[in-house]
Amino acid sequence: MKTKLFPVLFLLSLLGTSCIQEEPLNPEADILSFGLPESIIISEPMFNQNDIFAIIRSDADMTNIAPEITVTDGATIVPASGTPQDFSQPVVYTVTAADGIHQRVYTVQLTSATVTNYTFEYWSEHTARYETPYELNSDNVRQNIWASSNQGMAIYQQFTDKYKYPVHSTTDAVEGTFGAYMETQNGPGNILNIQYIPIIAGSLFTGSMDLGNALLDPLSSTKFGIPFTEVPIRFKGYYKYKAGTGDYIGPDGNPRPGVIDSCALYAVFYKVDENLQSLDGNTVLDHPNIVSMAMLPDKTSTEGDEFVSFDIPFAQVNDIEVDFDKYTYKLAVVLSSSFWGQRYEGTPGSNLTVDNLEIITENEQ
Amino acid sequence: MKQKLIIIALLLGITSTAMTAQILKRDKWECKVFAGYNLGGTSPLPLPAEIRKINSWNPRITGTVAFHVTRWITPDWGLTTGLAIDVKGMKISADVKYMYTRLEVGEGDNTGIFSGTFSGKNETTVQNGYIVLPLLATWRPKEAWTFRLGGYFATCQSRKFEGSASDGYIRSGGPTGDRINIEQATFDFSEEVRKVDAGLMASADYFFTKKMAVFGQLSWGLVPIFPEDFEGLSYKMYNIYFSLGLAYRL
Repeated sequence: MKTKLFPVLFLLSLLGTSCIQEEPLNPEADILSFGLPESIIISEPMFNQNDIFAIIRSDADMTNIAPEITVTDGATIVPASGTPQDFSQPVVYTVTAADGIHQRVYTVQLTSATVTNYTFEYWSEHTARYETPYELNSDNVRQNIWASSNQGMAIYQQFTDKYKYPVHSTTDAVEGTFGAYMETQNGPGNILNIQYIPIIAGSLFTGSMDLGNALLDPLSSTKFGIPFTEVPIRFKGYYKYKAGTGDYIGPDGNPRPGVIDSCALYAVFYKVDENLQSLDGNTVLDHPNIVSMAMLPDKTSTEGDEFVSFDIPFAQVNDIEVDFDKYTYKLAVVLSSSFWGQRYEGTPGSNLTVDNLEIITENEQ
Repeated sequence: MKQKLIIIALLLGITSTAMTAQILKRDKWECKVFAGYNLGGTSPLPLPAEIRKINSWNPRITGTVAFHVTRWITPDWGLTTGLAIDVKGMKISADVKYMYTRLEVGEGDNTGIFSGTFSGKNETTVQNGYIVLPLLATWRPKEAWTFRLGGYFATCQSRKFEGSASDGYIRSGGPTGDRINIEQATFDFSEEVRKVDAGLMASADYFFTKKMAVFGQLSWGLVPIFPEDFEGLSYKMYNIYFSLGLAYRL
């Protein structure tokens, strides 16, 4: 009988060591919500990776605002939720995960002055080495208003050279030191059998990248636009564009003979309501909430190597009466080296350089 | 690969018959053939905390065919070796939380690395075919019983380690990175599976007739099935399988 126990004992020892262990402490450290008093906010705070950005009323007291913050279960935040802070400068919040090891450092910026000039003079470098431009407002406070296709690429591609990413700074500028350079690149192809990505366009836009759905529904991951408190009437600036000389690649990865790439350079002004928080890749050109739009008419390559200036009026799209007291409005500036880049279409090598973009508003005129 | 295995099986058959003819006359030698069903897992030990729940485990149709020759040194003690074809496999579905993974994605020059911590459902199918060479101390306390204990060395002839991640999300780069929802993604680590395995082996036969026995065998891999530099999974996995079947004394 004893001998029969022999294999049984071995099996038991196997089972014994295979028990489910205690759940690991949560290593995540997210700010889940950032609540500001109803009386001062113009728009809900916008999350873009570790940046939180919100536009508040110009009559609010910036030096004494106590946000209500929620974080991942078990995580702690410093400074604590509910403690008043001076938001005349960006405030840094550090969230420590329940495991005590992982931390996430957020920068929160509140501003009442939206920028209307995009100089591309200031660039920050992400830990994944790619660059993102930011602007300074009239109070010299940093405005992290830009998002780019670099964020998507950095999910799977970790270049050590920032100039290998599809969007980066360039010293080829109209004024100052830097301009913004975007180039369409070959994509990775098949990503985990979820997505087929034959090309990645260099795309830069005001708004945020929500990577949550980047693999399921990439068009919905680009949240275009940031709150804007004036009526835009003209979109002007400098650009140059060179369509790639190779094959135009369709979303299936096959060449489209005879198709020449074109660039995207446009601005869309739209109303935020219960139906629409942000335009995304599906809706940016066609949505009933779009008030007006300024689109570069000729999207083909520019002559020579010089910058070309443009000055496009905003054209009314839908018959919407603008009332800043009742609604929030957003403005999206969208730039891309391939017009249909968000659908993963374009010609590798197509490149767009822009500098000194400006939105002229009604108030300025 | 299957054809290769069949040829080896046939060769084993022929050699064993040939050997039987010669050696059965001598009492000091004993030959047996085995056929059994493999139950077990290619598993980390202990289970890492990231595995929260095993939803299902399926041993699949995997088995072992073996030929053993024993040289009896004393009437009770001997030394056994032989050859076996051993298919070790399973299909497992588990709920995981914060599990680190590192996957190569894309094709050609644009291949990149997608790494991060995944929380959600994981399904893995393993099926690796080995040719196994055992070396076992053998003890025969009674005519009906034989026990063997020793080690084995194996080479992997066919490799399969693939699966899916679904209904969850991955944090790009680590737990504080971007949260990316995953509905259904697949991975295939087959090419990474180590081509050798070695470990401990223990087995027992019980003869219920003069020729026929039931046997049980535990083979416990001591070499992780993925090489040291493999980063697809953050823990080491071992082949731990129990075979149950019939033996025939030639």
